[in-house]
Amino acid sequence: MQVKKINLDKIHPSPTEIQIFDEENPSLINTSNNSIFSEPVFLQNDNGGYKIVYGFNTVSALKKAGVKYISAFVFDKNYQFLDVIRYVSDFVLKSRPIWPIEIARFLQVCWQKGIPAEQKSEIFNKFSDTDLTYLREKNYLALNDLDPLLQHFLIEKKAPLKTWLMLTELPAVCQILMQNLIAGYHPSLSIFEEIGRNLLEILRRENVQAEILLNELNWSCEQDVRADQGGKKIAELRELVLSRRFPHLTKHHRKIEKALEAIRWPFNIKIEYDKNYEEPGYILRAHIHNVEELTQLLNFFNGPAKAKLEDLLKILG
Amino acid sequence: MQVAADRLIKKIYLTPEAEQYELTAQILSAYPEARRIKIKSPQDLAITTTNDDPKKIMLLTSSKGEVVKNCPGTSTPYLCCRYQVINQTLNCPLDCTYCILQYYLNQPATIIFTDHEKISAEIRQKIINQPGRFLRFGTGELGDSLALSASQFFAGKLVNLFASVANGVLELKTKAAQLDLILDQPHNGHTIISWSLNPLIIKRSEERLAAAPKQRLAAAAEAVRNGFPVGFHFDPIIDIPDGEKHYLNLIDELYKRINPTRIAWISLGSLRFPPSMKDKIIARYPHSRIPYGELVHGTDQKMRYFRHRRVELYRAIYQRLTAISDAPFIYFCMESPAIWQAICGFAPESNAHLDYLFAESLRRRFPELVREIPRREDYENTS
Repeated sequence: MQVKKINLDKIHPSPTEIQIFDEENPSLINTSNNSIFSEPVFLQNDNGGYKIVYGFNTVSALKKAGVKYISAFVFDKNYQFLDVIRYVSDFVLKSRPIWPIEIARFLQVCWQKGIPAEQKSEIFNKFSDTDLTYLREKNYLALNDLDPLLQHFLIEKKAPLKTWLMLTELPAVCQILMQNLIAGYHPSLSIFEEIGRNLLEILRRENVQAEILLNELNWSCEQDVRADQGGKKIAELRELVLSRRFPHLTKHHRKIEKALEAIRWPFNIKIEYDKNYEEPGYILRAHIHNVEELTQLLNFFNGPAKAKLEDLLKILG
Repeated sequence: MQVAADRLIKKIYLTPEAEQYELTAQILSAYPEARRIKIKSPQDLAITTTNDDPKKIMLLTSSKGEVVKNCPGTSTPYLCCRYQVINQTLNCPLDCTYCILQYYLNQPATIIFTDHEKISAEIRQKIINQPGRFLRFGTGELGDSLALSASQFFAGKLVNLFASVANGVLELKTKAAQLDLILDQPHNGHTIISWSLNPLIIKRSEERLAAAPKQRLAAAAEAVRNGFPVGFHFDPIIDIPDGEKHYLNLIDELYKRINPTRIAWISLGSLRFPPSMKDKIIARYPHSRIPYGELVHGTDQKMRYFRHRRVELYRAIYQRLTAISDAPFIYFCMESPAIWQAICGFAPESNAHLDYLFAESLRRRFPELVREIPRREDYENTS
């Protein structure tokens, strides 16, 4: 591999080539010499020109900017696919782990090129720290079928493999729901994961068709929701899914919420209880600064709240 | 004579020290079709059996260190009964989806310790060390007590041992229905044979290789006819739609088939497992619905149905079990005092107190088994 100054016109698009590694959007770091970018470019000799191995976004940005020449790492055409991958992945691994979808793309290209199992296993092991089994390969390959919107979201959120795999197990209609959730309401990864996993577990437990389940949940993704309404819509879906996944727990939780709402709490008192309900009872914490606050608290305990606190104890007891 | 699960065993590995024991020869005679392979030490097994199913392989060897231990139970606030476990058979051929062994055991075979005299000496020593306490021992903690002939041969020797023990009882806990090697052993009432019970609908999905509940009850009736006290364990209770109806029908069937006065104890316990076991269950048993129950983290960090749901599940079962005169002793396995209180109206004050309550109940209901009136202080001062 050599560093060479390359005419951008010699880099030709290769429509059959899969872009394996995701790239940061390139940022120009030296405007006086417009061939220097934050992301390097890796090329390989191909039919008298060059094909891109890494740096698709950079090349595209440079072309748009009208740049003629760049400095790039160039692999000779004799370099085998796996050797090229080894070099480029070493570069990527210096700044971040290899994303699950990149492993999936790598395995897909290996399939297309007919790379023997033992050769791809070595690189798979380097990427994932696990051995390549039939089941693992099957699971990874399924990631390639996820919608690009889902893929981008999971990469952006640095989602663990289990979240990727969970999505592949969701039926198509549920995947579309998850896409709508991303497009419309920008959920956090933990809430996205929770909703997806609970949907999957409901489907497995109840053996119900996904279309029927979503109809019964009756949650719609509305167009043009105001930015401040997004959180509300996510919370709505989350609540619907949770109450279906944990019906008894939700019922109990609502009972407690109702009992809590029925009590007019003094400003200086806080209630704590085990949210898993394993520890019975509750803890009341009172912060008292002066005699007035103490009097207020004593009145609270001796007033109408007493019966309500007893009711609450029965529910949490 | 073979029991049903014996057919699964395809290979038997032997270490040199195991060959000297009488129990080894007995076990080998019960598996004439299994391939026999001699190895120098148990460590060699891991190299030899890389791709084999551990449930189809048996290793006969001698034990290293203690085999008889206090049941590990679980942490406070959950109450445990201070049971003594005899870990002679490690692993189980029955392949139940919820089995904790898939979490605890990571061995390439079902391990059978054949040095029964050393194990018997350990049991005797435990009994001698605590003369005032009535001790309960069992072999069903890390394997089914009777699912394999190999375990039954050992159990038979223990039945003989316990027949002459004054302050102890042996429990053989199983989901099997063939007890040919046990029933004719002289037991003197000091062996309790017990069965885990779940309704047929749960057996079909979660306990595929175990005997059907009716077969287990038929075996229990046979044991009672042979003079054995019996026990039952509704554990793990699994929350399924209409589950209450299935459990109540099973209890009715139990009392129809078995005279309650011959039942030493009945335990109740709900499904529980360490969180990381959930993925193992999903991977190994994709048909199983149990990982998708309403489970939360208990204070011991195990996944359990949330407490109020457990109370609902237990209440109906407990009420049906106690709706007869002279109901058997009923206890909860690894449950919190709050659950005891909600269901029974009282809670044992400690693990030692629960241990005492066992002895007290057995003395009242099986005076020929517990000959002296148990004293609470004898239980409080021991571990």
